[in-house]
Amino acid sequence: MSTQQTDPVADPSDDLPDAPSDAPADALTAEQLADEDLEPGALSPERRRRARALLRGSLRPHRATVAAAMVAAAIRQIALLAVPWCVQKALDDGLAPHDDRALLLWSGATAAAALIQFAGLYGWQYWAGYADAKVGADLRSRLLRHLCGLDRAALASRGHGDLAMRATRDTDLVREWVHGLAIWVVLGTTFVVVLPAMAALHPSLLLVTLATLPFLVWVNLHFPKRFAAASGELARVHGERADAVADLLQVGTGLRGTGGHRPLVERHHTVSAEVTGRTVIAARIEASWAAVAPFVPRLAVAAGVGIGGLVVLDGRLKLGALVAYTSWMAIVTLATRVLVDRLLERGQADVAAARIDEALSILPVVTEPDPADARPLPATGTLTLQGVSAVRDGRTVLAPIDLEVGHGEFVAVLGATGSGKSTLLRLPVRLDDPATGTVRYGGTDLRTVALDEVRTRIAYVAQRPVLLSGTVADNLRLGRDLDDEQLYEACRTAGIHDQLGAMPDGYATELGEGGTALSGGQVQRLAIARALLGDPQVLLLDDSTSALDTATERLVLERLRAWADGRTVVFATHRTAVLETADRVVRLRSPLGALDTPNERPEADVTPSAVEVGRG
Amino acid sequence: MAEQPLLEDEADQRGVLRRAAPYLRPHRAKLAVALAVGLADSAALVAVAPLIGLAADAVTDRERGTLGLAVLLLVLFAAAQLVLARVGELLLIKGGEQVVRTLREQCVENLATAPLRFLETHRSGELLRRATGEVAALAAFVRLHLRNLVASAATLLFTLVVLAGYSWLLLLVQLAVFLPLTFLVTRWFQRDAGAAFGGKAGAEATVAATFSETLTAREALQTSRGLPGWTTRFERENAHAVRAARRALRVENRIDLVSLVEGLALVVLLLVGGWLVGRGSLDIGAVVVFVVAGRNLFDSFADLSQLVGEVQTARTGLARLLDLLAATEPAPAPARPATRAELPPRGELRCEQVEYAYRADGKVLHAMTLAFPVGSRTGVVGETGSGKTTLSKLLCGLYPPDAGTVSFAGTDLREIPEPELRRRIVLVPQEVRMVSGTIADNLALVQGDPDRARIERTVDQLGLREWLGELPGGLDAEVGQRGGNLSAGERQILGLVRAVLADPAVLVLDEATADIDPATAARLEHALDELRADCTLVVIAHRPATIARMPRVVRLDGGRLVDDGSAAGAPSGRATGPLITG
Repeated sequence: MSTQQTDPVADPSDDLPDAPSDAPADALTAEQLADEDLEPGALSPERRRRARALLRGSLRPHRATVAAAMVAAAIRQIALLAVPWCVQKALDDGLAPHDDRALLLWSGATAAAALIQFAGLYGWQYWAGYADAKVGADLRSRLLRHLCGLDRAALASRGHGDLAMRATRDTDLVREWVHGLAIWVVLGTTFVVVLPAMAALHPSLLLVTLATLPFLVWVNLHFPKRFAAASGELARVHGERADAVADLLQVGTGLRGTGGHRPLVERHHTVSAEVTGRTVIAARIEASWAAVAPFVPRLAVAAGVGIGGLVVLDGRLKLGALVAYTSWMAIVTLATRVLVDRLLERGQADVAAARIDEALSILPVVTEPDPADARPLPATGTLTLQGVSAVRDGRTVLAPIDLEVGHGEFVAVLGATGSGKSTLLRLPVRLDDPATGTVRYGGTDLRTVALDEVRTRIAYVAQRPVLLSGTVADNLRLGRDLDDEQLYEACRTAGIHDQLGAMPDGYATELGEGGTALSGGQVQRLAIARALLGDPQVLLLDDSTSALDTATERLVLERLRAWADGRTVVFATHRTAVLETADRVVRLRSPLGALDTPNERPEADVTPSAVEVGRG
Repeated sequence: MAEQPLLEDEADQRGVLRRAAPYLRPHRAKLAVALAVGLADSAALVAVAPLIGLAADAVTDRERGTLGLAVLLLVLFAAAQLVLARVGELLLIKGGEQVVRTLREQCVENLATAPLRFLETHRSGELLRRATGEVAALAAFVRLHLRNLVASAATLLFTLVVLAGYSWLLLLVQLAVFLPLTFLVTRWFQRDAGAAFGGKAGAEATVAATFSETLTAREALQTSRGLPGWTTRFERENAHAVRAARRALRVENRIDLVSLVEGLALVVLLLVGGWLVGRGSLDIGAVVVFVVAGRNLFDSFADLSQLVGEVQTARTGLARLLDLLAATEPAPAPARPATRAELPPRGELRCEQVEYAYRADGKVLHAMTLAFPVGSRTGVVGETGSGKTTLSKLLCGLYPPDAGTVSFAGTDLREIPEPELRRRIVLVPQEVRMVSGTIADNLALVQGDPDRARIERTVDQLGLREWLGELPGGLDAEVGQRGGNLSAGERQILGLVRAVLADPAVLVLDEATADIDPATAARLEHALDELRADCTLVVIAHRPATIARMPRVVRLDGGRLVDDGSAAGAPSGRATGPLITG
């Protein structure tokens, strides 16, 4: 309920009983995070810490699966490393001295090692994949649960495409990281087994291998930093492009009629060019890294062959050892490359986790009261808006007003475009909280009541109702436990039952996103029915008959009026029929007065009971 | 029928490369150079095994000089690789990124011009996933895996050539063990891979679509207390995605059997090699080359088998993207532009026996014939669901009619290129869409990209200077996310400014002033009327005052024309209710 994020000018009025002075100490505000998001390449230590904590936390429930993958991976790697040793024995003890029994024995050992290697590999891949799928599902679920409860003000600066990207692309990157965890075990096993094995062949061979290590450390210190910065920038521009596509898909279609989609396409292409630019920058770092990293291990193979060859010439080592050494060195080279890849993808996982963490850290502006302090809402009562105003992005969209709607009253709210009618209606259902003033029901400040209880008592129908994919009945129920008869009853009241019943599949008709199969008027009535189903005491309607023809509108109003007997209705509208139906008409003044044309006839002419409550 | 081709959840993956070829062609020179450098890199890697064989022979023959030469060459090849690997990877990523860029930009071009019905019949989350998620996955494949793919394939090929030089027999025995078994394993994998990976991608796309839908419908769910039920649905889809992923894993892991086959091939190499060395027909050095190069052989096979999953994912993504591109491919531009006379800037808009249906089982418009002469003013009224909005979209060419024609100056709208059409006919819908940015940015979103001066002039002409001045920043006021800082009525005012900026021959307003307060609406409607006498105006509205302004009113009922307003002087569709304001 704090307003500090959207409203730098409103004074923190005394009306706000418990305005939290600041966010909890460990939670960054959305703004701080959004600012930092501009420079995601260089993650701050705090964000990196939080990103890592998120990664660890998401692993915890699936640690058994990850552990199984790691054990399988270790078994696989030991078996894989045993193969060159078996081959060395086969060469030196079987092939060179023409000893068929030894050759058969060591060939059999090689076969056994290969079999164990396969079993380990299968288990590793399976469990690692299963773990990553589960972690991905968990993250998507957490993101959805968090984001779906947030209010408009909290998400004001977010693009839907960018937020959705955190559930797809960023989550996929974390999944890749989870999938790759067992590879660390493979790498560890490799070094722990190979280094002593080399020492056993000849100390000089171990020294050659060890000499490569400082170089490997340098490579892994030098490149990841630069790469993380580049891939962060890349992730950002990918997000921008996703927003451009989302704009085109969700907004551009409405612009078709004026040919306005062309500039959006060009906007996309500009961002697309930047994606290419950023990709090349990242690729340059990546290519240098990938080329430089295996260079020294390859020199080590050359040195090992030279030194080992001299030792064999001296007769202190057999030829097979040279083969085992090169095989192991090849595995070490490969392991180095994989190590590089791992570190590379680890940077990506940090950036992705930081972006997910950021989305999960967005704090609601409209907040729940502490459950212990939550007050019950009276069953019925007067809806009182006292000195409420609203500010959006520094602009006053609702001038301070007082409004009292008695229990059982039907009030129409009239006002010029921009006078804040829609904004006003969002306050009693707590989609937004006022910048100043209080909204009370039966004398209880709504901010002290659990949101769910507010919305049980007070229902709201948006100016542009949104339908979800699913059937008509799904859209009415929205997961609530309601029987068919209740749906029919609500739809009768909303004047749409007959039309729905006449559709080929009736209430089982599938609706697309946005409900394109229904007309604007049908959507409005369906949304009214949806609100009625909650059996609210207060119904807030935002121009909900604007797309209806006058005859249908009269029918809907008549039935609503009958339904509203003993309930409260607040109806924002310009429509004559609504004004005539209302007990009282209230007029809002534009906070700026610009559209308050002086020649407009006062509403008193239309409905004698008009009361003007707007305060300039 | 206006039925649209629906995108498949599991897009057809056959011939995906052939279908992608047109997008690869412009970049083939760059890709060829990148490939050549990549091949040289692999050649340097493959040369290591024979050099170690040379060293082994030198040790067996006790020749220190040859050993020194082998070591020197090993060092030189390592240095060559340092350069080749970097250049090769960079070139390949650059080339691949160009291809992905072509794809994503084409995809957006197509979506921007796809038939409106196509966009309306798909969940925007699904289209978004294809146009962003799939594209990002392809870009990641190009950046992270493409180079490995090239290097592994080349290494495999070169190694085979080198080994053939040492012993045909031993190589044949190796391949006789390796190839048939690997072939069987691969076929077993491929048999179910398409369905398994496609099913996984489909399940994840459903989750993504629901996720995106949740963000859009957030407030409706909150106020209707529908969140618990909705999240249950999401969890169900999420769990299905995990099951689909497990199924894909079981199929993907079949390819691991290749590593077992490698082990078998090594055992056979030892046994046959031992037998050949025992008979004296092969050096022990050659067996060493086989063992060392065998690692190259198997490693590159292993890399390839690891990459099969990546390639499969990329292929699935590419197929889904190409599916989208094919489904949204613009119809070939109408032929005979030479024979067709230049389309006049003004002309009569006419619909002739027009029919339209959203689904096979219900016509929305029946044999509609209407003419709108140049400069005419026509109101369209009718009950909700009478087909007014559908008619408006047909009149603007946004929907093609199922039967009959809509024509402008005698030319069928379907034959007029889109930019031409949009210069002549403009629709202002009830819901005016905004993008993040300033008011000026949003006003510029019309055909012809108007400059600042023209925008200012138009605002003045419509008498909106004062109104605009009250917004903080005026033309530079930020409209917020999707215009969230503005009320629906304010957005409609801007929608009308846009329409005037577009300066069309025909302006169709579909409830375009419904959310504006009556006084302002009246003023704007008057200004529109005055502004261009030769502009044809078609106004769909419920508000009696708006309709009352129209000299001719046509009435629709159940998709049929019940009054075409031709009964002069008796506009039967005139306002039926009392007027709110004058």
